[in-house]
Amino acid sequence: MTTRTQFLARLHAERPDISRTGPLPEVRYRGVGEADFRRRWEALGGAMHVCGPAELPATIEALVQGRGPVLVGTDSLVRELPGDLRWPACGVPGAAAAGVAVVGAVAAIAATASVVLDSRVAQGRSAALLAPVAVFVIRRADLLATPSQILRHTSERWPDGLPSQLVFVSGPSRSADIEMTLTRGVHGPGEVHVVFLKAAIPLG
Amino acid sequence: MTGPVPLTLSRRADLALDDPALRSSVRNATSVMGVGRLDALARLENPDQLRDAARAARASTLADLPRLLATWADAFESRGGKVCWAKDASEAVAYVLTVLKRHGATTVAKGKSMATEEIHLNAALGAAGINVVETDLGEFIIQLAGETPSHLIAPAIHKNRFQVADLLSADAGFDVPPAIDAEVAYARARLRESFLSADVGITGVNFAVAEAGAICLVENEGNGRLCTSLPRVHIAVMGMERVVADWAELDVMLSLLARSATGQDLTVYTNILSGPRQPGEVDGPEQMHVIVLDNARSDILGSEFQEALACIRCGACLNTCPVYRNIGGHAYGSVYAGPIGAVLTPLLNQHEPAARELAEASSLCGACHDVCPVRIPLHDMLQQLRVRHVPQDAPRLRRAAFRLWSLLWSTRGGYRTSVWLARAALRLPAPRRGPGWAGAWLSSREAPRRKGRKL
Repeated sequence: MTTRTQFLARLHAERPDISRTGPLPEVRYRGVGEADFRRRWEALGGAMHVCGPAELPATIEALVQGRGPVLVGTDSLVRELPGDLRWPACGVPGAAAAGVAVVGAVAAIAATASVVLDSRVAQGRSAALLAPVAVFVIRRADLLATPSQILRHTSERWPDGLPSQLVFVSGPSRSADIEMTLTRGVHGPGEVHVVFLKAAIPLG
Repeated sequence: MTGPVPLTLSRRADLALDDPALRSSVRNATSVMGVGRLDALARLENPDQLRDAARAARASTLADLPRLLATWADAFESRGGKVCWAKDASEAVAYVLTVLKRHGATTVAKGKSMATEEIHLNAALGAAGINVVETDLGEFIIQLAGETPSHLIAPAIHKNRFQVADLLSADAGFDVPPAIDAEVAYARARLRESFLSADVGITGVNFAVAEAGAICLVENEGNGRLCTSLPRVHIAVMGMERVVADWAELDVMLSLLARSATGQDLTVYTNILSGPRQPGEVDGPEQMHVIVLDNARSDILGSEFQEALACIRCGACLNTCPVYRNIGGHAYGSVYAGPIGAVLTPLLNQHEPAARELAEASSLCGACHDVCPVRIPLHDMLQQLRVRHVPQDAPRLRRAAFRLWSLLWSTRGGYRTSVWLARAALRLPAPRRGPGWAGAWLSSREAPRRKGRKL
């Protein structure tokens, strides 16, 4: 087997005529407000709801429409909600049996209609991955304009180091592998909802 | 490209051109993706600035590869990740087999990865008795067909719903109707079992962020997320040039990758993975391995073709290429197809003469360069490859003709003279036959018809 030293010793690069000097330019997007998030998220096939903390249980119940079992995540935004399965206690078998998964997300991004999941906050990776329906609850204050606000600020956001997994979820799972025809829900959730909470819930 | 290629490029192209189903599928898919790309780039305010910056950033990163790879590995290992430095395909395959054996693994769920195609991992695992399931829908379909991907992004674009229904029905043991929703539903249920039972998940890598010691994996279906969340062990195979220096570079690359590939702002899932599960996380792999693959890339580094390693594998050059759009991916006979494939394949397989003819599969129109998000001069490279591979025993007349052409076009007066001569020649009837190679050349071309006074 080749060692790291042997491997790296073989790499002799040509110095290019052009090269990066100074900071990279910002990525500038058109339209980065809440209305833009809604427009883009709905264009991808997702649904968006806005409510106050007191209305959250009723909002969730209305979109679950009796399709259970309901898995509830562990983060502070959702853990007081009623549900049939509790993550992480239910584990992967529970997540696989769920009809709807309701979890918190650490941020949303208007420019790309993305929801950001953090495996440390969620205590794992698959709570909202296996059910056919996923509901992401996000504080309105955590709606950011662009992915750069996460990607170029990781050390401030995660001063104790990165979680093992960060995922940007932009709409329902999709595939166009057969005849370029768009289909939803091939592996991940095919129905996705974002619920923005108008006022902050105290953390802890 | 391994082993002998039984047919010549020209014969493979003829076969593809005679397949109307293939041609219409490929043309449809590449057109949809091509139009999507234009719309998606228009949703940015500064796409051209970003493409220039991306090109410069990739150039800097490649020039600094040893340091950046070491930085990446130190940070990744500090969180418990394991790194294998594989100089070639056999070392990479051997490492995968060792890890599988150590964990007593018998089943593997695999995400889409061109690097694993390059090292022919599936064949090696199959030979070792491992059950490998491709979980990307398109890859699953072509695995059932016993074929290889025909496009970087859409591996099964050459198959229609009827062909897919036949393949899935044979797998299921019952009839799966030729309706796309039903086909997807079958694949979801069938592959879900594989995810839940697989011992090991194997994926590719889109980018490795040096300063963070993390990898980034982009995908639309969720199979990449499943491969990296459920099995006990995750192995990622990465061409060594996938490194970006820092988060800002990742930000720029992500703003261009999905736009150039499928016309999306971002793929549905952008996974950033920094290591195995951490305390307090109840799932995720207990072990995470990244195989850094050289496999002749270090021969390209430092050569006139170094910039080919800047490729971020979006597939935009395939979608725009008049040759690819007509013959599809399989006619190239190589793992990587299209303009980038025609450049990379001979460079990654220098000892295989059959790989060289791929540089001929281009009209040198430069459309690939126009759409490349990191502006790789692919058309120039294709021309350089042709020059490099001119046979030493080419007919003297042919060599003299090209030398004369090159001489004429090197000066202003010479260029003008040649245009004057060409205009004069158009007055004569165009010959359709000639001796030897000239005959072959003339019989497949038409002289431009003269319109008006000037060409």
